[in-house]
Amino acid sequence: MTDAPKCPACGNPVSQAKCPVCGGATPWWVRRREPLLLAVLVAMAAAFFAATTFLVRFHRQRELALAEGWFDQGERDVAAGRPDAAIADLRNALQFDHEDRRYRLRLVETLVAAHHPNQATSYLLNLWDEQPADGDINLRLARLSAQRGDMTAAKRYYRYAIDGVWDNDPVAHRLQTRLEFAEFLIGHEAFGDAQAELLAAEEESPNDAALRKRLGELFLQAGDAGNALANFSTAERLHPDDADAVAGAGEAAFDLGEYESAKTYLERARRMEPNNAKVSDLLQITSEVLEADPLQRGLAGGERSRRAADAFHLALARVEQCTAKLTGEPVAAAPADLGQLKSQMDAIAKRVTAPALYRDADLMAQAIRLAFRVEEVTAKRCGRASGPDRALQLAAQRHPESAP
Amino acid sequence: MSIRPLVESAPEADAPRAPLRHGMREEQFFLLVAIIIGVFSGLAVVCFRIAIDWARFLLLTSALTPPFPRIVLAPALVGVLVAVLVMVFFQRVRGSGVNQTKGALYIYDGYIPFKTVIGKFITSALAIGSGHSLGPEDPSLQIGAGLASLIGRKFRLSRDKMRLIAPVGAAAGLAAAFNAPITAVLFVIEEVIGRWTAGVLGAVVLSAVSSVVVARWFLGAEPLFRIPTYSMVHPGELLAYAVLGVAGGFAGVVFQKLIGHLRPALKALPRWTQYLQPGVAGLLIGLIALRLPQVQGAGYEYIDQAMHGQYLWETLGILAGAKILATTLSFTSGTPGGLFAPTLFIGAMLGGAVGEFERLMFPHLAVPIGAYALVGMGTLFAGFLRAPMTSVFMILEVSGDYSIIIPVIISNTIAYLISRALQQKPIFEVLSDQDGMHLPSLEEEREVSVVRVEDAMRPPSMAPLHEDTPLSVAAKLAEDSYEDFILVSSTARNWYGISRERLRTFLKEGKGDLSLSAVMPLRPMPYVHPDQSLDLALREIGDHPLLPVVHRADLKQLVGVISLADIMTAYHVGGRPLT
Repeated sequence: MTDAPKCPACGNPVSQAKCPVCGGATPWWVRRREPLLLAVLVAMAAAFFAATTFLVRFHRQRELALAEGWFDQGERDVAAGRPDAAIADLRNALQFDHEDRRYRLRLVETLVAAHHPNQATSYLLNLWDEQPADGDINLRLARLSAQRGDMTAAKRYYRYAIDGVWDNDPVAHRLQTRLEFAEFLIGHEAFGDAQAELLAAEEESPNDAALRKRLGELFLQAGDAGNALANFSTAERLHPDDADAVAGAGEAAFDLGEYESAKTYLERARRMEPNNAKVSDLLQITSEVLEADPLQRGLAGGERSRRAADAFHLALARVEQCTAKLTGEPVAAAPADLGQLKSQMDAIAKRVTAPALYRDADLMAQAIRLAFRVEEVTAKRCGRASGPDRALQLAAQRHPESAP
Repeated sequence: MSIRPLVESAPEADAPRAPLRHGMREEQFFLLVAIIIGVFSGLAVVCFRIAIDWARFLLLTSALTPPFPRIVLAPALVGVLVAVLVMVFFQRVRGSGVNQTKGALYIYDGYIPFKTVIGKFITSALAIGSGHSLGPEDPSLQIGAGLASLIGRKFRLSRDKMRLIAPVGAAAGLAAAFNAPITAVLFVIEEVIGRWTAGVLGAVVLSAVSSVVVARWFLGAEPLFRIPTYSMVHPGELLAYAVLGVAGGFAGVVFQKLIGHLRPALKALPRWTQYLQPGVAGLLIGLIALRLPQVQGAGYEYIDQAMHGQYLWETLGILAGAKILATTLSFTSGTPGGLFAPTLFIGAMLGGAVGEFERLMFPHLAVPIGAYALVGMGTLFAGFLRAPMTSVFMILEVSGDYSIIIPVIISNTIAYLISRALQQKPIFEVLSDQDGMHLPSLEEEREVSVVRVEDAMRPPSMAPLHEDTPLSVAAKLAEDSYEDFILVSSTARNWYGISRERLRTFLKEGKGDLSLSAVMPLRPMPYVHPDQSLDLALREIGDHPLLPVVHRADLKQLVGVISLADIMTAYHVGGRPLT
């Protein structure tokens, strides 16, 4: 395979110290040419390796410096409101250091800000492939998916984010993510799922007034007034001067039908924030309910019978209005249930007076029952009432045992 | 005149090979040399990549979109400089380097001057760094081959080994450039060596692996591209990839025809124009780059962007077309540099364009654009470079994702078939023909039909005799046979032969009672099988009048005989024996 070493004197092949042809001495480096050459090549490779190491280090440092420079430029462009320029700068940074998480995440944020969600998602998916358990990446993917309208993906990534790994303060991040997820679910009317997340969040939550208040708001939005009231109460207890917490408690109590405590909370809230229109409106309705409810505890007999009579006649007017609205014709053509109620009410209308009801407990019970029933039926048929009718309707809901 | 066999008939009968002076066998020494070549090639390619980056920083700045007027002037002025360097100092560095390496293998006994290595390094780094639309992989292949040639010469390797050393270095260079050893090995076998031969495979693999180890030591093991995750959701996606295959096939043909026509036209111009052609090409590329800066250089960062859905399908299509044009200008003007990276770029853009378009038409096919871009790269590799196996494994290797294999195979196969139907010769063969070299190719080898023993053999005129047969009986049977030469089988599944004349002689000597085994030669005769090539039979027959053709599953079963005359007849009439 290889040519044998040759004698330097006569050129004949030689493998010994002395040439067999001319007898000349053969230097050792001629006889041992191949191992010597191997050794030289290995030494050269080592030297080449060392030189390349130096070169690569120097080059890498230069690249990292360039990357950082472009990143800084990108930050300046973001701050100056130039997202497209920032995207170009961040891509320039990434060409020199495409593993840098900071650059990649910043690019994602900038792409989102510049309304390029698909590109942002693509970059995030690459990050997700590398770190599927990263809570931050999953959260960003969830938000992007929500933005794109991909509900299934959004839910999946929110759950991954909640269970994911967070670098610092994982408990707080998980909690915030869960709350955000709950808001997302509420926004898409998945109230059952939202309540489940809020319950989990409540268990993990420290006793912090702001957090409890937020929980209360979300519970309220998710339709769980009981837990909302509990959280608002806690928030109010921790921070009694928080008008929002007090108002929230009042609203929750109102939704629960606990009008007495709702009134207490709402009056306090109004004292704290007199200009809060929502509180004022709610307080007014609450007061109306408490004043109109004939079955309110602790009422004197005369007051009860007066309320009962007022409720009856209010309901009678309501049924006539609702019937007229539905048919546009006289009672004879009314819907059956309304017609039946009207007939029953007409049968006793002349006798329903405050004094008569005071004397006749059965008549009072019947009058109240009919009034409540009318409010319930007309609410379904003709929509939610307003004013005194609304108050009577809410009062009826407090006493389901009085339903016929 | 007897024909000496060129190969030994039984391996166990080989004389031991003469060991090297220092106790190492020839094959082992060659493998050791291959490792050394791999190390040097890996280091050289790392330096080459850094040189390209520095050239780019210096000439075009570090921005992905270089500022004006650098974007126009850099490739133009550097083009002129490169032309002067090539014309005056480094005449052998023109082109990609693949054919030049192949030429070293088949024409120049593996000789590549070291000056070529230096020249290729400098001129390609300048050209690619200044924005010419060329890639670094092919020059890396030639640099590796050149280093291998130098090391081989220093070791004074034999001519046979010197011929093989160039592909060993080529694989090392390409593997380091691509960070993909399997791809490099397959490409070298498919394109550089042009035939499947086990003889050099070990060395090629070793050199590729050692160069990749070195390259990864410095540059990391991360893949060239960050590929989005792919998983097939709907079988209808395969149709989408078939469409991509069609598009890739036609794009490959267009690209090849452009290069095939423009290159000789430019070479035919007066010699003085060749000092300016790369400069003019650079100027035109610079002007294109004013609107489409993505066409400059290798373009890997833009492939990455395409994979992440940065561009609309119209933009992707335009980029594919512009890159075809830019690369044609750079390559045909004689600027040193490679075609791999531009091929991948064009394929990625085309794949992305097809994918985006299909996604708009069929939204339920929610395949990420990155998957189309990835498959597109392989498709154009198969359709333009006509290296189908390399293209499949390349995609698997750069993506690390096996789930993409079916779409890749479908798309690549369609592109390859379209390209073959519309363009007879692959691009490298076209280029070598234009340079006046006729080099073999794997496609050429596949086209050649192999003439086999079964095409030439004939039935024996008499059944073979067993070695225990008495000579008297054998002689009588031989008298009735048409053959002058009788075949004898032994219990040990060996075959022997004896002529009719010798049998008569033994009878006259009164040895009729002896069995045939007493007079057989010590050494059995060679045999062949029906499916083996006739070339092997020609080498095995030697002095023997006949060769037994035996069944592969039963060596004692004679299926035919073949003589030298039968072999010559088969070759004369193209493989069909005369009846």
